Amino acid sequence: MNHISSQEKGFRVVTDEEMREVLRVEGLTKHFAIDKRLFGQPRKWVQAVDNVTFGVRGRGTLAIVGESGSGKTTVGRTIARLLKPSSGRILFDGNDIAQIDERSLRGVRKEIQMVFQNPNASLNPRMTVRQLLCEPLIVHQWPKEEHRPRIEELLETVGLPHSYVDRYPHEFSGGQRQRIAIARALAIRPKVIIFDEPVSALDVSVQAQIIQLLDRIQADTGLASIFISHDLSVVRAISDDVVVLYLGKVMEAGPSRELFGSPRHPYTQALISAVPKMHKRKSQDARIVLKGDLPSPANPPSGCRFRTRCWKAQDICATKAPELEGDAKRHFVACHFPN
Amino acid sequence: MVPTLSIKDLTVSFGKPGRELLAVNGVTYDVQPGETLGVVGESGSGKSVTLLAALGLLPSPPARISRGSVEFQGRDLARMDAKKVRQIRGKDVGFIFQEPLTSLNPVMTIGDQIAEAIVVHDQNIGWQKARARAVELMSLVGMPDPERLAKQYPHEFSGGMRQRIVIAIAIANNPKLLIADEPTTALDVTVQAQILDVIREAQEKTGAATILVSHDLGVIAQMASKIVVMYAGRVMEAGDAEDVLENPLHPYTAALIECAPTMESELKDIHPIPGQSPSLMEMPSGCPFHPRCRYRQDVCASRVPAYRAIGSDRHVACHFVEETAEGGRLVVPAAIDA
Repeated sequence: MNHISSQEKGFRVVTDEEMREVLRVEGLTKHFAIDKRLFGQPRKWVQAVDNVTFGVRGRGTLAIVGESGSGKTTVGRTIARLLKPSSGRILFDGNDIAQIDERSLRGVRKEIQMVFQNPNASLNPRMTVRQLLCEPLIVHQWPKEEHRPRIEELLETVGLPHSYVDRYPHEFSGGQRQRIAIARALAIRPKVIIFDEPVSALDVSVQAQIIQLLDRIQADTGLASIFISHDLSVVRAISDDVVVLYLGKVMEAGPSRELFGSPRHPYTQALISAVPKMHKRKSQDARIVLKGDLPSPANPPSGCRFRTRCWKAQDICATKAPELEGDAKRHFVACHFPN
Repeated sequence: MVPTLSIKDLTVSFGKPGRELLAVNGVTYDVQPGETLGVVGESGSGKSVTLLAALGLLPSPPARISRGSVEFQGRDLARMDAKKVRQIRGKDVGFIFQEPLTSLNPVMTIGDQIAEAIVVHDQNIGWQKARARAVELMSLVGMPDPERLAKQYPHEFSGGMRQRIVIAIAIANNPKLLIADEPTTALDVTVQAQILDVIREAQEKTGAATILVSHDLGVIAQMASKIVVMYAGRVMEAGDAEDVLENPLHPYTAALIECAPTMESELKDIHPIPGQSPSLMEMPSGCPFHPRCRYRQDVCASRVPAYRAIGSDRHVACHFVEETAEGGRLVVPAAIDA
């Protein structure tokens, strides 16, 4: 098998083909009304996602990290067009899919699939594995004679024995169910899959199996993926690029090695520092413990949204929101006083 | 020194005699005053059930302690009447669970909830004094403006703040033993770091022995001085936390460390453990880990390895770990490549 891990990718010369972005998000914004009234316009809004821009490279994994309330799931759902963006563009294959209607979405759905955190909720308990895997093929009108070989192929890809094909979801463990959910997302050969916390509900030993499975699938199929997670150690292991979100805004973005190697935004530094290290002796760096909790997204701080918890905050941070600025290494940071 | 909690050969079964399922099987460990013991294991390993059973918190039936003993400060809990156990549990043991919202009463102000924990166990104190003490406890766990917040209800707080309230209740009666069962699993990492600090401070203030149950080796490494590694209801390995994590002897401990992604490891350093943890209904014969173990031999499927001391400070349940001058090592013919 031609297996290229993400590590090796880092050392290869990146080809034009790989540099080409499969998907690009520009100025993506999603507001939710929080005082819906019978008549008239709502007056209060939550800015769940505010002016988010990034690109997903072919064969690449872009990770979106952030704490709860950061808007990472909303970004994922908006790209999959399960939600309609308030403004901004989602460029897929050169077309803007941000505002297209339901009918045109059919074609897009074939190319952009999603895997959720909890396979118990995303798999119909009354359907067998065969039915679950057949459903996307039927919906997207695959010729009937191709169903059986495709299902066999899919089970092989995700490492499940073919004898399981007539079983129901409850007969499987959490890890196996997530394999079925992944097979289902792969069924119609999408170009992009959005994984929303796909391993968070799994035990560590099983989590590692799924991480390696995703890496192998990507190497074999050339799939591009968006990996949404709160777990930085998982993200560090599998992502090529990272976007760090805080209260709906991008704080920092860039290639994974660059961002984890020399984080420039105080929030990213704090996030990395907060991950408990396994070996005390090796981690002598002073720990940064942030004060307080994430403010409410309904009422975000003025200026830089992170300033209320930032140890570097000055007067300017309260009055002026920092712009996201990049360098030659495609490392972007939105901070008045970056490292 | 008399250990604060000493569990010996504890076996907990569910269901009718003859057809019972063993959730905990011969678990032995103890925790000394002022010490933090980390219990690590995957879901279904029995890490929580052991403690719940030891402190009489499992409904019986269906659960039953079928073997073993539990001593709290030298007193046998199993032979004590239920009322006495309840007193010890309430006053001398503080609990911190994963989901703070289910531990708190939604229709009672948090000041009153903390005060209630004090009044129930000290009839002489009176509500007024207890409320004042509640405010003190709130500032101890790092809540700003405690007098005002004491009048608010749990739903008005964030997850991290709620967990601080639970910690305040847990230490309200200066417990001898603090049990924190996945205390930060539902929290964001930046808040997790705060809460771990609060637990550490609470322990220092009260001098309580602490048992921290977690699936996260990183959390255990940060907090615990001793570690117990559980799998399928049994203890696989125990010893000094730093030693065990640096130099694991049991193949399961080693595999658990190698499969967890860390901020230092690369994808190629992550080695998944094949298969999954066994269910209680299909417990493998012999060593419960043998179907997933890279070093398994014939004997592993037929005989349960004894849980025995290796060196001065380590206990391991594996047929192939032997004692050496430096401590111990794993001696096997060859690894089975997955």
